[in-house]
Amino acid sequence: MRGAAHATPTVNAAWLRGARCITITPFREQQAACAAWLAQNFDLAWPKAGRIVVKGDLAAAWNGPGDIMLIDAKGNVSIDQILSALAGKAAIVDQSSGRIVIRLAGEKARRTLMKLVDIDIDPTVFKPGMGGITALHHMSVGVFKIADEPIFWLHAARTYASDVWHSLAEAGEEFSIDMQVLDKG
Amino acid sequence: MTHESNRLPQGGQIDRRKRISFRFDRTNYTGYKGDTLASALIANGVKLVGRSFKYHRPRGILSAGAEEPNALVELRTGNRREPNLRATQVELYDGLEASSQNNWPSLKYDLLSLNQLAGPLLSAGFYYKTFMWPAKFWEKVYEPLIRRAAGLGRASGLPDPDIYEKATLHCDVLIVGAGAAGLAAALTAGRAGARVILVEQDHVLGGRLTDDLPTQHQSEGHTWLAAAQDELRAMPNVEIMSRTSVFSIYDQNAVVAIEKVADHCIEPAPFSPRQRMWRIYPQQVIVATGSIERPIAFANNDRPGVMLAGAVRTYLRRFGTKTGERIVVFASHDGAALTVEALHAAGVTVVAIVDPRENSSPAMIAAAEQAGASLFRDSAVIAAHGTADGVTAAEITTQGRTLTVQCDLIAMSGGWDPVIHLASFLGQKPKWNPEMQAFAAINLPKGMQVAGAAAGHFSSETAARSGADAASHALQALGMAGSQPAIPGWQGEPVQGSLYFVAPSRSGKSFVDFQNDVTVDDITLAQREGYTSVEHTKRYTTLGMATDQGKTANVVAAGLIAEIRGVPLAQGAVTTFRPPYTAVTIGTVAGRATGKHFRPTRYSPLHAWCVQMGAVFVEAGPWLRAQYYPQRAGESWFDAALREARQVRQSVGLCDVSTFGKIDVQGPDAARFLDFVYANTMSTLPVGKARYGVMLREDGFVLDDGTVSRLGADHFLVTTTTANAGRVMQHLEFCAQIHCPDYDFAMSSVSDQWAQIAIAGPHARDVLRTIVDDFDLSNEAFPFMGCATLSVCSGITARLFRISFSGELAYELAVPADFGCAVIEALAKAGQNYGILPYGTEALTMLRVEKGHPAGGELNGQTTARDLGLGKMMSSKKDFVGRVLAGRPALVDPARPILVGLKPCNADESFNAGSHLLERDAPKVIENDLGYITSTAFSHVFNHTLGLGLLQRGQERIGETIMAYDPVRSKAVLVEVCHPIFYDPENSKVKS
Repeated sequence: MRGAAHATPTVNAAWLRGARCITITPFREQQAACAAWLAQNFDLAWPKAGRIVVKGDLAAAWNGPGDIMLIDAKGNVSIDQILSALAGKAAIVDQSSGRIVIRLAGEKARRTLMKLVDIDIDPTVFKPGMGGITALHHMSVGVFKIADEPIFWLHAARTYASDVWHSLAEAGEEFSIDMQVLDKG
Repeated sequence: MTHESNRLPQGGQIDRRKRISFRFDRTNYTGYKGDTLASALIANGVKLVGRSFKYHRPRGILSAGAEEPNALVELRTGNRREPNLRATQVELYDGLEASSQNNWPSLKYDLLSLNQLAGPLLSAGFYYKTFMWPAKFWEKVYEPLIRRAAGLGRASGLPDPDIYEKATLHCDVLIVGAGAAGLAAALTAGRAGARVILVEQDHVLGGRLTDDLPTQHQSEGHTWLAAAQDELRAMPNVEIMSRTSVFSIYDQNAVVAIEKVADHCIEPAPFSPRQRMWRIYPQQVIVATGSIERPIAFANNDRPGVMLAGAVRTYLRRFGTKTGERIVVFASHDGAALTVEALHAAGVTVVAIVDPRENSSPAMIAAAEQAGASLFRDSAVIAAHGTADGVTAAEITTQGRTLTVQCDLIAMSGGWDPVIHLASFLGQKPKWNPEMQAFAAINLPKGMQVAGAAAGHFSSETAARSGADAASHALQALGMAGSQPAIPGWQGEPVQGSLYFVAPSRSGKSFVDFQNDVTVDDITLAQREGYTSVEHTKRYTTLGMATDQGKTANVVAAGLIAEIRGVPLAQGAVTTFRPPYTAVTIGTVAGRATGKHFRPTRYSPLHAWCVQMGAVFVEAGPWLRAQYYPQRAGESWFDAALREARQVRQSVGLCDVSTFGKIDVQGPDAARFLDFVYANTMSTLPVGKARYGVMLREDGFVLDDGTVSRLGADHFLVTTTTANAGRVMQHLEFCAQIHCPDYDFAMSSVSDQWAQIAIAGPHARDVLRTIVDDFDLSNEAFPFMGCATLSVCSGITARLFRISFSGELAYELAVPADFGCAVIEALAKAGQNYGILPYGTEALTMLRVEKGHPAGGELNGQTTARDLGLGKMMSSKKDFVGRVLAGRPALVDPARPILVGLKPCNADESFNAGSHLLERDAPKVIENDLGYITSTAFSHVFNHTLGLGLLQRGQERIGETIMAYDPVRSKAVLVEVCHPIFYDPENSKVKS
């Protein structure tokens, strides 16, 4: 825990170590088939641009035009299962080692995030299920709102993880941010 | 401790229950919570607060707001010392420590006030006229002297201990200024449910609302203000940001503001910022920034005790302090009647009202009668008399005679100027508005409106109405509607009078720009000497410069220039408005991006292992890369790198190559796409093979080199250099989206996903064999340029590439980044028997230069494939990016410098990258330049320096001796031109 401005932390950041991140980019005219497979196997709808679809620890997040990222906070999803199911239909790329997933939650989570990203995260417009790829201190991050409490999920490049983590610590220190690493979500 | 002799027994919006102690120039004073430093100093009878910039003239407080040009102070001490803060904006706090600036040895007895004696010499253009000759004196004598004399205040010179940060807000309606107009606008927009941000630079809301109401409406005004604040604070959709100043605006109305989070405290709360910069993205902006009172130029109008009439009123009504005992009011408009009324109500004597108008208005006559003051019509104050301690008399010209009236304060007002900086920062020039008698904002950016006094509605009532109307328009643009608040009929407030800028001339300096010591005479001289444009006048005289930016000076100067030139003010202009509106600390602009975190650092997944191995790191773009691994204290980079390179050539070494860019390309058209972006053909690459590739820019020059590995029929992995990884990804995205939108394939960066380890040296296979799971590494099964997916260390997914940058038998092993450190540790352990060592970028350079591989120095954006000896790779059978422009005559000119190897004729001599290549006996001048050296390295194999360079007709000159000349070190070395591949030109090692 950093900071001492508040007696108790009013924001907490958890690095969900072991989360799986797999991008699925359907080839031409294959999105419907991929979406059907996603719905059937994970009960997740194909996310529209700027959206995330969440079921428990599993989420399908928009990752760019024609590209989604399947995020499993618990790290249970098997890439082999996806590769065999969607072979020839989509480019399946494992990014589990390449991205870090951070859950940011608590009363001051929004105030903390306001210091880091330029997108509009006001609760009246940034509803659960919304998000996007944006810049955080010159680094590219995915920022998604999972719940109204609020809970946000961020994903960032592993090689920049140290600076993302540092930026979060700095932004949240006036709120006594609690920072921890959670293995397997 | 002094007594607050000027404090009225009651009144004002200060909290009299909370007494505050502070120090100014090492003297203790007291004030109240709610005071500014200026109001507290006035309450304590302090008139002299500073010295002017050029003449070191004694100066007092002129205003009560952001426009203050005189009362600039240094605040705090030690590493928190900050210069040039306006005392009128410094919120008083317990323990505040301030000091005056620009004086020596003391504020009262400032030796440099002798500058005034040289006043006639220091006229406009003094520097330009004086320091012209001798020309050679400029750089060595004049400029250093001027620089030493310039500047106000002292920076602490110590590291700032405080935190500064940035944050972002979005809203439907941003209202800048919380006076009558801003509050009415916020109420209207807030009630409609719009997301509203109301920004106010002061720590209280209301602006001049209560100051500017006639006495009979004072309590009504306070009630309205309190109710408005209560209602706004209760609205969840309204954010009120006080102590926040919007200082600039950019395209699409992107606004930046600075919030003084803790400037009103002795120091910030732990872990909290002192100041915060807000980026605000509104749909609609309402500029309700009020107005600034215009001074009048007369002799010695800068004496302590000459003050703006509106400020006199503010100090009375808001801060409960009088500014003098016997006051002369000199004003050309009816607004001053309010000051007279307020002074009289507070029991202060108004001895005279001097009105330059031929006929004073009924309001002024009534105010004079009520206050029992003499009213001088068609008259002017032509001089202030007094000392550094303040005014003692006003010299008045009236009806052809001159008289002197004893007084201790002259309150002046030449009218009001709208604060239109925000409406003008995007380039819109304001225009003179005769009705308003002021410059008004025109051609507003889309989504912006100006309201209240900033739009010429100078009375509180009309200001509030215009604010509400602006909000209604903003709501309409947003497709919303709302009700306007009730605005009481505060009629009876005076409005503008006649234009009046300069009183009749008399000996003594009449100041137009107080902060920069620019006088009527200076501006007159500038006009006489031809600097008639206001922009030229500014540069010639320093009018409107520095932190003040002419807030009180610009319009007076425009009026004066128009008078001198004999043209109407409608043809006049003010200088371009430039941000910031008020000074912004560099700390806030930097925010958290300071020191090590000035920019993000990128760490390889193997970084921890490299640290464990004792690596010394070097910055390579955002990356930290292991440069070399000293084995003992004091081992130099050179010795370490040479040892590492030797180990690779003789046995085996490990290198972290995770920083290379890696791009996954998949899909039915993946091969077709790679054919298009690479100069050489990739579609013919068999599965399980890697190929060296060259990528050109559209203009035909080389963009990058790297390898392409075919992992499956429709699955490729592209590698790039570390430096160009981002650029290549961007380029490929552009090609995919613009040139090949109909290609069916997908592309993603996997640079972060894979840790990559080079295992290089004659024993590379032996080491690798111990960690691969059931994979035949023999030369036959996995030859040079092979690639495969396999597993290592009992089940870790891996990719193996038999490629070599070092020129030795080598592999690059990629594993998911999470397993990188575990796998490289396993390799290090496996290689113990071979004395395996890690090697860094320095050894890598030694090895690749020996092998003649191009890298950063050669891939410099100015070389073609042909220049690098890769011309034959450019396919003639297909189209590819850069093909056509690579055929331009200049790019295929045989005289272009091409890549060659260079070695010293005398093996004991070395040469540096950057050295120029000349004929051996040629004079060392640019005309004889034949090329330059791009990379050098010491070779342990050859035991001398080797170089790569670009040399005209290089191929034909192999074997010749030329000169490498380093003009920086004045060093010339004879070198022999050779083939760029020094080591194992047959490539037998890599294939072994």
